[in-house]
Amino acid sequence: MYYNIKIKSEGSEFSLNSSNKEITQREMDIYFACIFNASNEFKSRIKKIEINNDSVKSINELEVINNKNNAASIEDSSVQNHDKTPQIIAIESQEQTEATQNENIVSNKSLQIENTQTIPENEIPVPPIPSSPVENDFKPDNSKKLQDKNTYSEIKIEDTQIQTCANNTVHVFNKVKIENPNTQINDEIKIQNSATKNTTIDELISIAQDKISEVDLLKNNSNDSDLIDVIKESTEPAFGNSINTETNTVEFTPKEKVEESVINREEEQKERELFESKNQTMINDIFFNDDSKTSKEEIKQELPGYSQSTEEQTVQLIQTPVSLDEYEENIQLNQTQYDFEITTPTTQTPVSLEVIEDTLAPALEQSVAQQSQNENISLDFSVFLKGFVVNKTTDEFLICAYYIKNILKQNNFTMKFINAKLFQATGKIADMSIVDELIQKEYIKTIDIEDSKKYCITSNGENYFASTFQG
Amino acid sequence: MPQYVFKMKKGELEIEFSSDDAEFVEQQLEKWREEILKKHAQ
Repeated sequence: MYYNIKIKSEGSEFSLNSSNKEITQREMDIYFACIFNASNEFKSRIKKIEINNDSVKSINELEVINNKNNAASIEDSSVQNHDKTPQIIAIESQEQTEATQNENIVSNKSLQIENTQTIPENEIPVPPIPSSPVENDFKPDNSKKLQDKNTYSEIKIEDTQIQTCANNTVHVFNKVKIENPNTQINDEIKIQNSATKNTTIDELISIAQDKISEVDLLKNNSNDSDLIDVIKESTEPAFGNSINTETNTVEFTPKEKVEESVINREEEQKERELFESKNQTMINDIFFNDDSKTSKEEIKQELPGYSQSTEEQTVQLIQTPVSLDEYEENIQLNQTQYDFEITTPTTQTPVSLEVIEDTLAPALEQSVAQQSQNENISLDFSVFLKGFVVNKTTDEFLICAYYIKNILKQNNFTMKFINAKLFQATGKIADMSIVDELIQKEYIKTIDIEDSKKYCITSNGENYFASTFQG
Repeated sequence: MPQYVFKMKKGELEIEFSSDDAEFVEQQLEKWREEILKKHAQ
């Protein structure tokens, strides 16, 4: 076993080689104070960094460091380190060979994540989890614990290609996969790093910062319907012209996200058309008793009080207190729906009392029910959630499940769908631990539909909701 | 025997830790992660 700490600062370098674990224990505390300076949104997606390609090279390997070999004390470096929060985190996993024992030799496998943005105090760092060779050496129980406690995505570096051009410019292409089994959002981006061997450290940091920002930009906008536009905007060069004229390319393929958005819009459109169609039929039955008039515009033109109408018409009605009240109530409902004024109720053909009593009462009940349903559909979850005092994420999840079933009238939901609702309302997403807890309490249950796992709220969950939040 | 290297930088400051002790690396990362989760919970 060996432990090696190397600290470089302003050209000075200090190395400490030891087989004493206590020394490195103290120095490793430095790492714990370090901040991985990406947004929480980005950090929360990191679960594992996996390197599948022996030819992966970190951008750090391109840097030229002017080592002056001036030793500095480790105490001085530690103090300096606490004053400055390190903003770059590099993870490298090397097969220990004769080559890697020479620190000037490029490692076989490496990955580096860099960021230099200023981070607020409340930004919480998330540590990088060791790459797969490390994870293979972990105890199975601990590895499982890491996975259970987090909803992190897996970031996989694949298909790295390196090109060296005649003008001493080195291009590093990294195909990066971001996978989250809980939210079922699987993204894929391709990053091209370009730098010359004379590129300074600051420039390299700037490059890495831009890469992180690009990923943040894409992920933070992944819920937007105009996602494609965001992707196009983000494909502009990631770093300044001061380095070279080469441009970066970023490809992003959120297939599932786009498909779900399209399906949701189609379903909403169908519901809207069905509702309008029913209303039109109902109005025809009530006022005209004529099935041929199905268009809303035709109905408007036929109804009295329509702005284009030029002549006053009267209605022949045998008025009774009950039917007249219902009739007036129905007129108010239709005024609300179509936003035009009815001054004098009339028909082209006289309406008998029997027709009114037979058709109006059930039609009115249907109208009120449909209007209530329409109001519920338009009720946003964030508005719905504000009606309750909720302290726990599990309760928010359960309320959202109740909302989906009883307000949206959907019998089941995917994790992606419910997380989209939760994220819009609370800024948080639920992980599998919450689902497992609710399943264990039998508040929700899983449904396997066409090879995809879906969930629905159970009667126990609805009873809990009613007793806790409506009681 | 695998070797694990962790490197952090800010500006001119660079810290690099390397070890072949997988269990120790695991403990340190777990400690780091727990600290972060504790702060996050607060």
